[in-house]
Amino acid sequence: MLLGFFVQGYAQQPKITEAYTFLQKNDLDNAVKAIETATSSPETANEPKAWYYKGFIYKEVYKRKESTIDDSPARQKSLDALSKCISFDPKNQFAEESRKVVKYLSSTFKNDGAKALNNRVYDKSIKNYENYLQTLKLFNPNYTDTSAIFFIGYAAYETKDYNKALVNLKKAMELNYNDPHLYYILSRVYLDKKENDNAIKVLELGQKKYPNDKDILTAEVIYYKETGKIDELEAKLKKSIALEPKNTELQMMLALVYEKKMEAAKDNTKKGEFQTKATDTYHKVLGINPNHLQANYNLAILYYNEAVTKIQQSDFETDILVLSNLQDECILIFKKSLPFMEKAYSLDPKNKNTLTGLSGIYFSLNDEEKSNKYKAELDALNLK
Amino acid sequence: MLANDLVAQVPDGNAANSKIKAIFLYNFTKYIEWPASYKQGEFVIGILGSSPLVTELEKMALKSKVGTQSFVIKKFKDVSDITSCHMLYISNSKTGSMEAAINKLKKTSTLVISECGGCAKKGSAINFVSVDNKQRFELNKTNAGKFGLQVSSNLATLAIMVD
Repeated sequence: MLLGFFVQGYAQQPKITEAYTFLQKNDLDNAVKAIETATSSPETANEPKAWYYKGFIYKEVYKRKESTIDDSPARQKSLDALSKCISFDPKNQFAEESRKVVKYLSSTFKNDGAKALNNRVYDKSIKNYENYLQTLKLFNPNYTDTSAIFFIGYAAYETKDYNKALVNLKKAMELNYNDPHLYYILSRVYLDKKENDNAIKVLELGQKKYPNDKDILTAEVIYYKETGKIDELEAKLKKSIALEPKNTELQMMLALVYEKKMEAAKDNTKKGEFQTKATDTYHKVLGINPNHLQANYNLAILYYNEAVTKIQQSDFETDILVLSNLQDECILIFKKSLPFMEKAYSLDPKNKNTLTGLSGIYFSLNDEEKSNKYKAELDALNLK
Repeated sequence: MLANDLVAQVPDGNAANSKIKAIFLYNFTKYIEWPASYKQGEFVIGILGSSPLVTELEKMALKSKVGTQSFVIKKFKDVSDITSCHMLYISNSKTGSMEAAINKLKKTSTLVISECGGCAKKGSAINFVSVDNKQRFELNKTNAGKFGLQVSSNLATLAIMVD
């Protein structure tokens, strides 16, 4: 045992020897009593070795008895003793060994912080990571761990402590913490604080540093979506899709952008262009995944809406012959819509939107029987 | 999921079907001749029973006229509520009251419109039907004539004739 090397040279100090002997016999209670006596005795209270042994013994108590206890008193006593040892030891007889124990104990805080973060117990995680960083300073005042700083910032964001989150995330950025999530989380903090300009600045910084990172692009996509900057969103989505052509979520978002542009377009030619783009994009999604529920549903609705809009936009004075042609045209569009809505229904028969859509399309096709069938299914669901 | 909030809203298919019917009704005012006494004052469309058509007709009344006559839309719960009108639309749920409604409207010039299988043979002048997913209408000129209404031959060419 490492401790034995030191004890042999200081055998004239009986309480320290006694503590060591008890420790060797795994009698931690008596080892604690002996070392407490040694560190409170005027003869040995200023001896670095007494404090080193105290730190070592309490570290053992922590390991054997308190490693699962939050705020273990033994771990704290160990750290306090080791801290004293380091400050009392100008000849560096025990400081180096004390630092090794400190390093071990700091790692236990880090592990506890990570475990709490994984379990989403954010306050506990912050406390453990802060203890970890504090004990690291004891080990080496010039060393820090940027990942711990980031995790404190992230956990603080989750608890909505935005000031703490900002301080730590910015510090992690200054210290060049190398993870694109840093930029993503920092942008979320700014977005939550309604500081949109700062949010996009951080994302742009992140994108410069990680030009092909999907998460950063996704964050930018979310930013542009939430701030309603539709042209920028379209550009970012196209860039993201170029990196991930099989990402159906991005394609779905792009299709929606086209739908939004279609709604906003003032002339029918533009509306038609965006409708075609939206339709093509949904078809791309279905080319990747024919069972994509939302793409099937949205495509069905897009066609359904096209036909309904054509009818609704007609003047009441529309001539009966023109009306006949309009009906023929719309029937074809309703029929285009139907297979996608039926597919969506087959994928999720209890989906109320799908049932409403199916009932509506069949109603528009003047097929009352089928319309009523799906309406009855919808009514049954609404009763539950 | 990024696209979770992208569920599109279902459009109102009922309103679209009603809009088509409303356009038909407007066209009937062009192709059917009412007696001179009916060409002044308001042009009244009555609806017997509840129908989504009412909403579209009310929109039509805000935008359109028959010559100088403004549209007025009247809703009748039962036959006993029916008052003078140019058109009476009998909703599907009130098909059973059609005969009574026609009896009440005797000696008036009311275009009776229904939406049930075989109704054009049971007294209505116009009856909406669907053929190959399309809304069309049956025309019974004889029934229209009983109410003093003259139907243009142009309308007859577009209708499914039942007499």
